[in-house]
Amino acid sequence: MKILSAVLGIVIVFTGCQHAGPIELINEQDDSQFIEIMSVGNPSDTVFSASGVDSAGLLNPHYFGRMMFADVYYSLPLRADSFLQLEAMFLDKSKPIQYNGHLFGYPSYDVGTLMFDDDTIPRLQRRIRLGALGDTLIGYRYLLRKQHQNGQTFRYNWRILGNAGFGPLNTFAPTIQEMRVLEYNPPFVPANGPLTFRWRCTNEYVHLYISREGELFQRSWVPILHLRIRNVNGTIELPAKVLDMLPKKQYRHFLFTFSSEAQSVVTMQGYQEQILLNTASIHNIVLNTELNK
Amino acid sequence: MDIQLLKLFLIMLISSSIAAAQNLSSARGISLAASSLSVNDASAIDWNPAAIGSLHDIEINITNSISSNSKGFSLISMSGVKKITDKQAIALAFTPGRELKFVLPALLTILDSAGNPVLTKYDREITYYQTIGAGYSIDISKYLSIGTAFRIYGNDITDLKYFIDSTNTIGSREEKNSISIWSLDIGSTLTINDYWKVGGTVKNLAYGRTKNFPDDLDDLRLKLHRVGVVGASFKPSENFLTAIEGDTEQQIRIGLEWMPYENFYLRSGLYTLYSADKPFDAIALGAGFNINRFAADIGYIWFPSKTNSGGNINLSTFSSTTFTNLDYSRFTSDQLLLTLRTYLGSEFEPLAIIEDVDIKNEIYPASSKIFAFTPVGTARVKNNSGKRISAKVGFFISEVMNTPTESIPYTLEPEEILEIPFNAVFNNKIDSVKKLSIYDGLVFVKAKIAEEYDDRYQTRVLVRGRNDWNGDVYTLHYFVKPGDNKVLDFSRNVIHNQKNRFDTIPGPLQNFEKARALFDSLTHLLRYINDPRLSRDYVQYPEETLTLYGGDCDDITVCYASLLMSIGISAAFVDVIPQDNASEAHIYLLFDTGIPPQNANYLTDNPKRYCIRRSDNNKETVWIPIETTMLKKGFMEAWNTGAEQYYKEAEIGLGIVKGWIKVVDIVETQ
Repeated sequence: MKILSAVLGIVIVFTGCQHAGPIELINEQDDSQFIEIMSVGNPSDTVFSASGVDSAGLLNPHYFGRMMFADVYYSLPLRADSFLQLEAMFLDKSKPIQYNGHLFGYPSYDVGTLMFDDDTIPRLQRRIRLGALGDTLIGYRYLLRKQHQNGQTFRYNWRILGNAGFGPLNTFAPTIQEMRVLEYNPPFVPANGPLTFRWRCTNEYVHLYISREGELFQRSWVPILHLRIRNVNGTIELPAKVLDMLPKKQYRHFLFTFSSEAQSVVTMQGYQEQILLNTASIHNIVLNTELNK
Repeated sequence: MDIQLLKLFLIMLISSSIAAAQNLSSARGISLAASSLSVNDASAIDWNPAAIGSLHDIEINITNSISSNSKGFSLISMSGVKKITDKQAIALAFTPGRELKFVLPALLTILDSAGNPVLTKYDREITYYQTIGAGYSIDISKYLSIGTAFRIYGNDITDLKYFIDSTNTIGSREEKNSISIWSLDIGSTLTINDYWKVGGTVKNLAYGRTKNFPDDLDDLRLKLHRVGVVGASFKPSENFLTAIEGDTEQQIRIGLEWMPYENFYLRSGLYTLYSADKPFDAIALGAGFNINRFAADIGYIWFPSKTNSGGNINLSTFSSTTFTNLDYSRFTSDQLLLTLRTYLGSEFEPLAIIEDVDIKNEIYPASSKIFAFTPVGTARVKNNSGKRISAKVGFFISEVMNTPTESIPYTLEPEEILEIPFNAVFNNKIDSVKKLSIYDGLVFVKAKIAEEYDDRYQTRVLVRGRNDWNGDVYTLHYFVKPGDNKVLDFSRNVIHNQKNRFDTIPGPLQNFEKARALFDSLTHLLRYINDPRLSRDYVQYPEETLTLYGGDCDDITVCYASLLMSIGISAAFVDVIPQDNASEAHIYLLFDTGIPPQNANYLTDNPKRYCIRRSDNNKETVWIPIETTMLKKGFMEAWNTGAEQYYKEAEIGLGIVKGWIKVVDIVETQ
């Protein structure tokens, strides 16, 4: 018994439980290090937040106005398309729209005639439905979509000709390099494994927005991921870990929007807040999931 | 050694050629480097499971280690051995510290809603660990042991998964995947002699896993591979041991153990590669000491190359790495090991020990019976206790004895040494030993309070062939077999065929005439033939002489004596070893005519042709000398020659008085 006690004592005293530290593995093939993932709910100054997501102007408190130029190229499963989209809106932050104590957004100004290079951008009404008040006009937005013409060049010149004390403004948006995705492999969203894209664009960063299909009676595409990719050599292998974030079982198609973006701000006389100028070259690619390829 | 056992061992060696890795479960083992055959503790389950059975009844081994990349001591292994029979043992190992952990850092940058990076511990964490090990060994013979060990490993991979919730916020969760992997080792040890031992092991002879990881994690799975080890250990003395072994990983290991002071050991080991550009893979040093049932060891292994042992490693290199075990791999760092050992159970100090054994005599089957009364050898027994003991020495040769013999008890005072004689009772199998053979005899001593023998001593005992004779005339009578069927048939036939003649011969001359008839019959039947080796040390039994129709002087003398005795005529050997020429030694015969001396003239008037001897019934009678080598010339010539020799040598030469002639009455033995 004495011996047994001694042995047990020694076991207790002698036993240690400090494990060796882990050995770190280096995966040189992993492009994850070049990727920053941001929530699309983030008030980032991107083409999406300018054109759709933040259409009420609720998310960005820094700018009262935004003018966006996008050169858009679409690769659909059976066809391709390209167009230019010009969009602008100027919010009156001093008159928030509230109903039953909730902030719905801001009204927008009519700034008169708005031009990009030689094109006049049509003015459209903004209406919202506020319960018993029905459709209510809360201002205007400017939108022009036109066919992209090969070889066309731009001066990126935005002009507000002025209206009722608003303007005038004559400024130039930043120029950008055209973004064109050259190839992608595999040609679908894999159930497991990575998806590689190669593009032609030398901007330091490339933005990728991944959108799912919209629900019925909603918008066509709902962005769910925003990736800022450091453009090392015109290619990225999206890790399976990123693609696994997509609801691949619920949706059959996903839109991959590659964007080369640049932005600048301009101040208009008489307004403290700034106007954001966005320029973007966009290549949209719609890919089926592997189960629906 | 049995050829079958040797074959079995060779088969195991061949299978081993595909063999071993090192283990951190013993400070002694790691500092000796080549420990597959020199392991002497419960870590044998890792080194060579065949060695499990060579340990004490119950033995426990606990090893802790501290490495260059750990924060403190870790319990590498706690193993135990239990003997379940004299020849079988089992072992169990609990290995909480046998673990390797790897991490893949998270490279993705996740920004929260405020644009700040979300911190993550890792992308993937891979853990390899051994949960348990079990071993079994069996001694196939006193030379060969085989054993097997079974291990279960665990492999966990924790994978960090990202997701987007309903509010478009990116979150993460850990997903843990686990599988179990098993492996089976075999090992063998072959004890050549007191100094040399050889053996081999096959690590991971068979292995498998319970299930698979998902495809994207499979590259990170613990992958085992088969390794074979062969080696030898040499222990020329109690205080020195050296061992060498090589494996199919192309590593050669050499180890030394030296005991400069009693119970204190110094050890060193070298791990080297056949074809590496670096001179060695690792160097180990160690020390240890024993106190009663406890032993403590310390060992340190140093790797000059630190490429993968504690730093970073490329994922592709990691994915292609296979393991023999988790202890010794490219990721093993410098280690300091501490081992405590103890043994429990029914271990006892012998009361008496055998210091030496002296086999006094070779064993001649013909005269083997005498060892029931005459000691076959002596054992020098020492009282190893502090008390007076009563000790008995036993002896056993399993092949030719039915049961062990046991001496009478001898009393020994503390520390007293005594030569104790021991006997042997052989069974009939000893008569079937045709030629000089060597048997293993077991000599053991039983002290008064011990249930089993306190010590044993293996010795070699010479057993002669059945026809071998030691040249001593006093033992020649063991070859005389008057009751043998062939002898009886022969003598009865001779007497029966001359029945009518014998009926006419007066009674006092009956013995003489019957002896003459037997001799003359032999004259017609036998031829004189020298021994196969021209030696008088080879004697045929009478049955063999009659069957082979011949023999030399010893054989014919023995045969004739057997025939005489089969019809009731007493006989005696006359063994002559001339003083001046021993090579002229020879044997002839006297037989008892039964005629009283006063009637000797019935036979002859010449008193030089006979001698007077006292018979069994204490009456003096006339004995006739017969030189059996005169077989071809008939009875009368054999008598004349025998009588002439006897007169010259015994009476004129005073050979009997001087002792160079011995007349030995033949006593019937069975």
